[in-house]
Amino acid sequence: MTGINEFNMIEIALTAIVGLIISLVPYMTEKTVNFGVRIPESHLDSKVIKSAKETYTAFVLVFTAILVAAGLFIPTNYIFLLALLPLLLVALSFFTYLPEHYRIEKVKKAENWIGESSSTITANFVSGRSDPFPWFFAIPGIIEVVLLIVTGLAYYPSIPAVFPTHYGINGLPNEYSAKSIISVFLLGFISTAVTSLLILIAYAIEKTPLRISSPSLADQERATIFRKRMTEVILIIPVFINLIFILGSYSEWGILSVNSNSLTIFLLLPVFVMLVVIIFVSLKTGQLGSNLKLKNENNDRPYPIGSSSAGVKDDDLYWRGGVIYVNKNDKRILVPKRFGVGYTFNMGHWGSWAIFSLIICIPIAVVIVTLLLH
Amino acid sequence: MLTISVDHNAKTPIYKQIFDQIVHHISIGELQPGNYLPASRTMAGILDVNFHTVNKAYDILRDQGIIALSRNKKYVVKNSPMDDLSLHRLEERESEIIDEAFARGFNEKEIHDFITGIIKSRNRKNKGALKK
Repeated sequence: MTGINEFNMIEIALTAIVGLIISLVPYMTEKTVNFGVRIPESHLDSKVIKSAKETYTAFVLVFTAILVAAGLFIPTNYIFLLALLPLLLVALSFFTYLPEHYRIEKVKKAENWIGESSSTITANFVSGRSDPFPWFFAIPGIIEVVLLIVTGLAYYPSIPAVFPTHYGINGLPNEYSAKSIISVFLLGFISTAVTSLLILIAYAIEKTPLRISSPSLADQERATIFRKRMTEVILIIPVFINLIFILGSYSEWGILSVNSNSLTIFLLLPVFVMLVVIIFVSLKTGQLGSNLKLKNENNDRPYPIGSSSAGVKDDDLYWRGGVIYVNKNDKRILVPKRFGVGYTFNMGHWGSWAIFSLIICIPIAVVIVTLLLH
Repeated sequence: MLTISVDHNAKTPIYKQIFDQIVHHISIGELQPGNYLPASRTMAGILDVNFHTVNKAYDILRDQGIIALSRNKKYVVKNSPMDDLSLHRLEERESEIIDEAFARGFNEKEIHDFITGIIKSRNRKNKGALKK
């Protein structure tokens, strides 16, 4: 157990939490989609689905236990590998998911689950009467950005010509930067960009129509609540991220002087709280509101005039491996995921490719700027 | 919120299903004058239908004066006063229904109650919708 400090413990705890959540994903998806396969209502109780869920959950939990144990007994020389554990876990779960996906798909095809009655598609649009955009949730994050920039401007004269910008594991600064607008406000610029991007995503999500499994009032209500909560959670994320940038900037500027070990914990704490918030909302809501308990679940939830109660039309052909959505005709960039809670990109839309390129370009630009500053 | 559901195997043509549901949403106050309708390509993409099908529904809605093309090329729900033509069309459809009801042996009071019931259900939803 040598070489494990509080920071490492947080990373190991993070791996355990990530594992636990990933193992529960099959229980958070849309009711008529299991392991990325559209299942007709009549076959939701099939053995193959139940067995796939159990196998997947068991495997992911075992992987999690192995990785957590490996993390606890990792030799000091390889301690940096701890940060890779959650990623490794995600990869392992994906390769547990994939065989189950193909197994269900095979049975579905062999037993011909899709019949004449699977023929409806229902879409929920944000047209007409709807709540206004929840700007209220964006305000705390915006205040933090303003605070960061204003403090920077106020302290600018007192920042030394060369100041520490990176700390080593031993807690002492090991990298310094020359004072300039860019080097002083680098974290401020990043937090402005991240905050704007997230507000933009929240705005897009709030306007995005959703495919829902039936036009019943219950399913409409689920979709509405899901959309609302997703928008609010995305608007809240900058609060935590900006807190990290504020703490980082303040310690660079010498406003905060904590030793680097406790600083790292300070920095990880907001990430931790953020994860807990996201996980809590995702579990409570479920994909497209599938886990919501509605008040009038069964009585007085009629179908609107002119709509049919036939099953959902099969849409598996647009989902590669049940996880990647490619549909040129669909004008949406963001669509609800099939395996998990939240959204994924429509890779049949040029906009997704544009955003992907940006996501790759921004970190590269930050690295280049940082290198040029040294 | 506007929820549109199409049944790809139904006997009713898809453009008619879309048309009926939009009219219904306006009737219950879920869509109100000034509200925009989704772009036809967006709606078509999600419902997995040809966008000409959605356009056909929109064209009929426009011909009947229920929606109009706004300056920014989006369809908007109109505050549509009845002109003589649409009044005549409505009268014709009502006569058809009432004729059928009489032919099937309903009496005047039963038909009245039936229609009042439908109107009441719309009003109730309308009030609830506006309050929210």
